Amino acid sequence: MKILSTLGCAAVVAATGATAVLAEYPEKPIEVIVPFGAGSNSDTSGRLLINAMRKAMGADLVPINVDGAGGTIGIAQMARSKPDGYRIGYAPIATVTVQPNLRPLPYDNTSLAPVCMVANNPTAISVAPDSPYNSVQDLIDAAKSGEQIIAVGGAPGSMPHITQAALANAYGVTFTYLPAGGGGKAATALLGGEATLAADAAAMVSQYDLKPLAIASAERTEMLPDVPTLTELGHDVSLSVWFGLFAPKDTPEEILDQLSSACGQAVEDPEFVKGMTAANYTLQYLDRTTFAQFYEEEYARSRDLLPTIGVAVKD
Amino acid sequence: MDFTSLVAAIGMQADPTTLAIMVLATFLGMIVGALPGLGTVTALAIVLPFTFVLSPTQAIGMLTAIYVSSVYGGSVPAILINVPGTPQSAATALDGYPMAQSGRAAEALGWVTVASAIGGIFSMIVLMFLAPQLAQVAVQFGSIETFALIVFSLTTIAWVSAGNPLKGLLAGLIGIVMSTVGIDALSGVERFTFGNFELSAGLHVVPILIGLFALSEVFASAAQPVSGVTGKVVSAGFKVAPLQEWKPVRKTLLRSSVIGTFLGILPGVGATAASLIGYAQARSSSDSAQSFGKGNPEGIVASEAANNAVTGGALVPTLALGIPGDAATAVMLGALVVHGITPGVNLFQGSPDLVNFVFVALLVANVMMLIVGALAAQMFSRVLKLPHALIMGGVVALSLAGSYVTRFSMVDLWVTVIAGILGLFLRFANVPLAPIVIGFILGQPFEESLRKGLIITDMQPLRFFNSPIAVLFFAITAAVVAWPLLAKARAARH
Repeated sequence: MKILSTLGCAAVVAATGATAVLAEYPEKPIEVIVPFGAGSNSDTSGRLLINAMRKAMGADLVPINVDGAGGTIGIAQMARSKPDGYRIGYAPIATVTVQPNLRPLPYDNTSLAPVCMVANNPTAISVAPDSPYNSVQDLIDAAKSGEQIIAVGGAPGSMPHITQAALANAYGVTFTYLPAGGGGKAATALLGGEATLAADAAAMVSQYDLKPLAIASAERTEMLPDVPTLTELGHDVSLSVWFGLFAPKDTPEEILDQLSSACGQAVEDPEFVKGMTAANYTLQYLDRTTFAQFYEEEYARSRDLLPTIGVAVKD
Repeated sequence: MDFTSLVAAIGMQADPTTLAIMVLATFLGMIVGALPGLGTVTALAIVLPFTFVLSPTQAIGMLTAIYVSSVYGGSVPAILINVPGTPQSAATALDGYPMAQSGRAAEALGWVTVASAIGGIFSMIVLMFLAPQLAQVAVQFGSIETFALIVFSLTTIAWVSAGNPLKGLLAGLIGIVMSTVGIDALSGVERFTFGNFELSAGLHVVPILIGLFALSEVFASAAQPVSGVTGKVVSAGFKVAPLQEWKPVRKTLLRSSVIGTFLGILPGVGATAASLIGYAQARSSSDSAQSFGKGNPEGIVASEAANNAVTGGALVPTLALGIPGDAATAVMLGALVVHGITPGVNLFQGSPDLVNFVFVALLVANVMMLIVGALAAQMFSRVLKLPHALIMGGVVALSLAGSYVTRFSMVDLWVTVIAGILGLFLRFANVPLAPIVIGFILGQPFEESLRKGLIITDMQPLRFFNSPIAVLFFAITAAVVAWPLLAKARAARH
C-alpha cells in the first residue's frame, strides 16, 4: 500500500512538472561547502551566513569544511555535484577567479552559477608600527635603491600575493614574496621584522596595530578614513576581497532565485550583521543577477591582470 | 597580577549556568575527542554557533572546557583500542595500549587523566603570569628560529626508534617524503600528485595516523587471530596510582609540561609534535627506558602532560597578540571576536576581568576534566570486555569513518587503507611507526621554514647563524647528536 501511494505521489509530482518539485525545495538539508578549514576566515563568515540563511529559509543548511589547495578542492567538489540546489559553496574571490586562471582546475567561471555576494573587504598596504617607511613612495624608493623589500601573504595565487605583485608592477619594481600565510601569520612576520609589508585586509591594521600606507581598493574605507588609495596616489591598483555563494551551473533558475533572496534576507539579519562587523567584514549584498555580472568582470580582470604582473598563468 | 580583577573573574565563574554549561561541554569535548577524525577543532566548530546565544563569559567557559577535554578525550581510545582519537594522543598509544592489554586499563586511564590535568594547569599558570612577556617570544621566533627548533625536534626520532636508529631514520624519512605530497605552499607547484586533483591538497595526518596505528593493528590481529576477550580486564574502571609511584615520574611530568607550554606558544608546531617530543625526551632520560613501549606509565605521563600543556601555551599569543597558536585557538579567537572581544595588545589593559576569567575557566575546565574523566572511565574501560573480533570490526568502521570526515575526501580513505597495509609490513619488519608520524608532521614546517629562511636571507644560509636563538638550537642539536658517539668512543678506549 505504502509503495503504491508513494508511487502515486511521484506520478502526481511528475505530472505537475518542475514547479511542483520546486515548491518543495528544500525538502532535505542543503550542504554548504566551505572550502577552508574550521576557524579560517572563510569558515567564520561562512558559518554566520549559513546560520542566518537557515533562519531566512526555515530550512536546514549544513556547513561542510572541505579544506585544501587554496579552496579549490572544495569548490571543485561543489562544481561537480548534481545541480539540484542541495550542494552549494561559499568562496572568496581568489578561489573562484585567480586560481582557475592560474592552474588547470576541474572548474572555471563557466562551471559556476553565482548566487549572491555578501561581503567586499578593502585591502591595505601596511607595514610594522616601527617600520622606517612612512609612505608607499618610501617603499618604492628603497626597492629602487636595491634594498630587499619583502612582502608577506598567503600561498601563491592568494590576494595578498596578487596585490603586492600588482603594486610592484605599477611602480616598476620587484618585491621578494614570502608566502608565510595571511592574517595573523602575516602580522607576526611584520612585527617580528621578517617581512617589510603586507598587502592584506585593511582590518588587519587595527587588529594588529600596524602602520597603514595606502588602501589598495577602489575607495577609501571608513575603517581608515585618512589613508589614501593607491589610485589617488596615481596608480590604478584596486583589489578587494569579496565573498559569495555559488551553486553548480545548470542549477534551476527557481532554486537560484530562492537561494539568492534568502541570502538577501540573511545579510539583513541583525545577528549576521553584528557577527560580520565584529569580524571586520565590510558587508555588501549583490543579488544573483548583479553578482553574476560582477563575477564575470572580476574573472576577466584577473585573467588579464595575472600575465601583466609576472605571475605565471596556465596555457 | 591584578587581584581585584581575579576576584571578579572568580565571581563570574561561580555563576551556576556557566558551570552547568562547562560540565556539558566537558562531556561533549571528551566524546568528540574520543571519536577518531573529529578532533579538537571539529569539537570547537560544532559548538561555535551555540556560543552566539550565550553571554561572553558563558561562551568562553564552554569553549575552554571543550578545548581542554577534547585533547584529553583522544587518549581514551588510544589506550583502549590503539586508535588515537586525535593526532595529539598518538604518543599516548605507545605505552597506554600495551598497559591496557596487560590488564591495567584502569591504571592507564588514571595516569592519563591526572597527567593531563597537571599539564593543563601548569600551562594555565604560565599563561596567567607570563602571557604578555612570552607573547614577545612568539614574535621573535621567525622562520630561521623555527627551522633551528625543528632540526632539533627531528633528533627525537632517534629516541622513539626502539634501539634501532637506522630503522627509525628510515621511518622518519618515509614520513618526511609523505609530507611533500600536494601543492607546494611556496611556489604553488604540484608535487607527487600523479595527476590526481584531490591529492593536490596534500596528505592529511589523521588518515595516515589511523591507518598506521589502528588499521594495521586490525590487519595484524587478523593475521594472528585471538579468540575471546581482548584484554585481561581485571577491574574495569579508573585507578590513580599511589603517591609513591608518582615520585619517579615527577621530573617527566614537569619536563613535558614545559615542552608542551613552550611549543604551544610557538606558532605552527602544535600538540601532536609536543606529545611526541615530550615522549621522546622522557625516554631518553628515563632510568627505565627499556620498558618504554611496553606499558611504562612514564611514557603515558610524558605524552599527556605535554599535549594538554599546549592548551595554555597556545592561548598566550592568541590572547596577548590576537595571533592564534594553532587551528583550535584560531576557532576560539573567531568566537571571541564575534562576541565583541578583540584579543590583542589592548585586551590585557582594557578588560583584565575577562582575561582573568579565561585563566579561571581554564583551571575549572581542567578540574572538571579530571572529575568527568574519572567518572566516565568506568564506562569507557568496559569496551575491553567485548569480544576481540567485535572490537576489531568496530575499529575498522571507526577508522574509515574518521578518515573520511576529516575532509570528506575519498582519497583519504585510500590513504588510510594503504597506510594500514604499510603499517602491517613495517610491524613485521620491526620498523617503529612513531617516527613516520614525527617525520610527517615536522616535514612540512621543516621545509617551509628552511625555504622561508632562505628567502629572507636572500639565499645565504650562513646568515642563519646571525640569529642567537637559532645558534642555540643548532648547538643543542649538535651536542645531542655527538654525545652518544663520544660516549661510545670513550667507552671503547677504556
